[in-house]
Amino acid sequence: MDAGMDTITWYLLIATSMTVFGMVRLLLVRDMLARLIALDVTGIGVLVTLVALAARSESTDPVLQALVITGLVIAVAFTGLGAVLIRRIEGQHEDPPGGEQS
Amino acid sequence: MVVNDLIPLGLVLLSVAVAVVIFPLPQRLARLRSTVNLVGAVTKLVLVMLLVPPVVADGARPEFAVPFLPAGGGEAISLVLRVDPLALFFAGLSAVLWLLTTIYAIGYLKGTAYQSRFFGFFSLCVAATVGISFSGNLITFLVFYELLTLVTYPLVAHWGDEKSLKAARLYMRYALGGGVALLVGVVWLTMEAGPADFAEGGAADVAEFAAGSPTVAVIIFALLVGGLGVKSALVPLHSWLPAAMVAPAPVSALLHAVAVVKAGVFGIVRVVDDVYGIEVAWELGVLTPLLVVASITIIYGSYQALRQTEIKRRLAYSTVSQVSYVVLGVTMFSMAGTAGGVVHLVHQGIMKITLFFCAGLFAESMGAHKISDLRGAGRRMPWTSAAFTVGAFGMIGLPPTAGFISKWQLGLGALDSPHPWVLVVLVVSSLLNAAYFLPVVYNLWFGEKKNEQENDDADAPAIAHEREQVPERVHEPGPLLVPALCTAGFTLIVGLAASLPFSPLEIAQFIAEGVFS
Amino acid sequence: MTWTQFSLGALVLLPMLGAAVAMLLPHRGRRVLGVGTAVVIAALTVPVLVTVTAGELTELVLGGFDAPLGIHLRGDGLAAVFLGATSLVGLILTSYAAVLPKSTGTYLSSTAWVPGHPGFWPLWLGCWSGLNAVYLSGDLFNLYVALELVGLTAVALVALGGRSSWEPALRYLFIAVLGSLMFLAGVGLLASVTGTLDLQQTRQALEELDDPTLSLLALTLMTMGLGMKIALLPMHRWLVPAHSSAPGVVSPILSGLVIKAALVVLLRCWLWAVPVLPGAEWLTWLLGGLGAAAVVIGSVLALRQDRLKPLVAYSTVAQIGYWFLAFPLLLPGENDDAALASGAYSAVIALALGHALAKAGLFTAAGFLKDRCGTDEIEALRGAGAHHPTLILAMGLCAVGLLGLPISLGFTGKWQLATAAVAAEHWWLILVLGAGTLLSAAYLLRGIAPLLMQAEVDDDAPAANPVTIRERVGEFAVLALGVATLATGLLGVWLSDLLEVGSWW
Repeated sequence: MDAGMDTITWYLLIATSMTVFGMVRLLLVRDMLARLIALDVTGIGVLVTLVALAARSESTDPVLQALVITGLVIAVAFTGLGAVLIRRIEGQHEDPPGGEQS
Repeated sequence: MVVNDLIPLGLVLLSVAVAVVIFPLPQRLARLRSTVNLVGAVTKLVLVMLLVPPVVADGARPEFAVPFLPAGGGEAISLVLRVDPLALFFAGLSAVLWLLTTIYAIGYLKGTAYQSRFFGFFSLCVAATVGISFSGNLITFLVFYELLTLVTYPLVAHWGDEKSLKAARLYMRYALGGGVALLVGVVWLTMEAGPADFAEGGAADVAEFAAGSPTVAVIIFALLVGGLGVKSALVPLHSWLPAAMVAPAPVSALLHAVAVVKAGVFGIVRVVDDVYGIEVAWELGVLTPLLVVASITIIYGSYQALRQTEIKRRLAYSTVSQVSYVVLGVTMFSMAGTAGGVVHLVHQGIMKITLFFCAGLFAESMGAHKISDLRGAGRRMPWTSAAFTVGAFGMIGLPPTAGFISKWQLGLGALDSPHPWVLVVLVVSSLLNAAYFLPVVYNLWFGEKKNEQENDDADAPAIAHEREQVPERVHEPGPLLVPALCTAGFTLIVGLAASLPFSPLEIAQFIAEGVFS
Repeated sequence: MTWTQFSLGALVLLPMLGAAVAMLLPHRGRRVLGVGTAVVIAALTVPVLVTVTAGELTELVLGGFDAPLGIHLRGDGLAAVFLGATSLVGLILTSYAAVLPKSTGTYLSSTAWVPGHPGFWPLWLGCWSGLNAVYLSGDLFNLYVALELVGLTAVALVALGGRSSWEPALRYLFIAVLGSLMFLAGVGLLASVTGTLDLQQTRQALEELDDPTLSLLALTLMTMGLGMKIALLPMHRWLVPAHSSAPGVVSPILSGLVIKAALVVLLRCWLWAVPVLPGAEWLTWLLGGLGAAAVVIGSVLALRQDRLKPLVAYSTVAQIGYWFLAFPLLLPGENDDAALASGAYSAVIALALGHALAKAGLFTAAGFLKDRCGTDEIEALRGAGAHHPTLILAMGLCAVGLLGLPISLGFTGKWQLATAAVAAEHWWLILVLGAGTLLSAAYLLRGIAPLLMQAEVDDDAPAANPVTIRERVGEFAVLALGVATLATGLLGVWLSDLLEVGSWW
């Protein structure tokens, strides 16, 4: 089991560093798309952490798996919304629409 | 619960209801607005009158309570409205004067903008005053006291110009500062001694607490009186009051005679007599400092009044001085003095409101703002001038006016009390009163309009217009004149009928007996 | 299944259903559907309140799955009071939005910006469903999902405000996702230790645990994540642009309700899910200190605003501080005084509920003036209140609640906080309360007083347009919130009785 624990520790380390990297990037970068991607990196880092935690026990923890799946769905929804907003903001800079906002 | 128990609540809600109806009324529906106002005022007067026989004669104490603040352990601090003679005394005063002020205000503001807002807040102001008078404990008092601060702000700022807003801001700063001091005092006292229900002769819990830790009791007393002293314009907390004179005349009348200043002194009377109890307060040694402050306020206010050349400012400083007679009376620690102080609550109200009504009339009809503008006004506005003269004589304390009764009673109290020197304060202040009111009265009746060129105010076209026809009568509008004449009449009647049953003096003596029982 | 149990389920599912149906309807139909749904939700709240008043706790397990993975709804005191407040505010705001559609945002049709965004209705009903689910959830999993539903719809609601609101919405999205990731990490950590997500089971499992380090780490993560969503002071900067650029009726939803959802989750975590941990004191003191800083700094920043909506938004930052002030009192410390903790807890709830009503009213009023006059610069709004005495009165009533003057829940809350502070001898708290009250008086006066001024409004200015019947009705919605601010001030005693039901102690 020692080797198995080691793998999980590795996973945990990678996941944590992904999370930290993503967060630092999120706070430092100004470009909106880059920030959104950094946010997703952070999210995946957190989810991988949870997966690694789930794999620690003998039979994989169903509670944590459910959390991860839900987290994925929510991350996708937010990314979609963010992408739409970014496209609108960018589009407004490039191609101002004819009408004026009231 | 008897019907009577609901009357105090009904009285508060009545004024709120009037406000709620009036606020959304469009400007043009002046007649409907006036009707609602007057119906509200008359109903209120009738309801208060209904309470007099059971409370004064039968000793009933109608009470309405609703739990308000959780106090831990399933206990709750309640909002209590209770009618006792002192409450009724104050409520009666405000009911009578509200009716008259409403009539006056309708006439005064005719044709100006924002009347719905004005009368809406005006009614809320009265609701707060009624709430203050019927409050059965300090928390309830605090609630309505803060409410009063908020609803008078738009009234002081009513004209909306820079000067009004500045005065209103000053008022708000003073009043909120006082409110915070009062709040801290009330929270502290409630934590130490429970909700402090008002009781004739003082609350038992507070007496017990004061015996246990007198120092804290003195600090709390100072906080409470300091907070209340702002509204009652005790020197040095008075300077908002003369500034607030920029408000419309009915508001000044309300501030000085019915609501704000009165709420402050009424609160002091409550704290001294019904929370601490006069005996406890005497033993704590807090009465004498307060008596000294009141004396200083009386003399300083009169002195400042003497220096003013504007009618309204002179009246404002006169209020500073006169209201402190009430504090003087209740702190001199004698039964006659307490009766004198309490009765002055009413007497000062009707006399001062007369003077403000008249000042408003002079300003509206003749454009007179300075005392020198009043020369010869006696011939042009005889009724107004007569009412003003009665009010002024009352303020000086000449018999047979109400002011004489107050001062006589206070003088008796002073001789009876441990502080006979207060008599000197009374005499000096009466001389000062005479010194600043008699020249005005003299101007009214015997002043000739000489030196018109110099005296003419450039921005008072009414005078310029009337110059050639000085002896001619000036129109005195009925809705403004009638209230002034009524209050002038009251000033004489309560003076002449002071010894009859149910006269203010009689009731005040009854209250004083309760305090010293 | 009792009537109350049915209500619990319906409170979550019905607005969700409404949101789905609304997407199929034309704009007018959406408005009718929205108001109808709001009325039914308000009616469904009544049995829950009645049951809880009777001292009973209602539970419902949806779909037959039991803990740890099922959907487990608990109608306890905390849930009931927040449901009540949300139904009241929600009903009033829904009616306001239906009467004045232009307060729901603007959208770009082929050529021009059109006022009134039909997308508001499904988003708002979805958000409402999420709010109710947050209040009723009995386990961390559902709390997480419901909170995400609220966050997602809230971001989209902000974006309805047209061009100027997109960037604030995106900024809000970043912080909301980051916050929820931290919360998720905390939840995952707890679940990996306890193997369950049910609040009570988590607490039992954690109580048996010897080493508090992991639970403390999890609690810290969750607190940080939720602190971002609540906008506690150093993490508050997203709030002001988002709340002030959102459409007229969205700002009150965000400020009055959405923030409260995160607060409820925070309270559930601190008081229900996690037992008193040795070593958590520093965290409570940190939160208390940040709360004090928020009260002072938020107020000062509010005082420096020149526009009405940012002023109101900064006032939210300040008011949030009050809720955190109570944290050092909330957990029984060395003296282990449960009465003290319950006093502080009920103070937080009273302050939060009072804020929900008063701030919703004030934000609606600010949005109303902005919609009507085309700007919310205080200087430009001078005298704008002349034609709106009802609105001014309503704003005054809401200001009473925010100031914490009697009679309002704000006063009740401050009173309870002050008495708890005196009992625990935390005198600094009294100072913060006093300073906060005076500062808020200053900034509210700065915001409201110019409206009373007598200014010559030009005939061609938007403020001089005749006031329509719809606008008059809209004013009454604000007045209803103002009156509710005062009327609920009398419910303080009832409130603390309700909170006893199903509480953690």
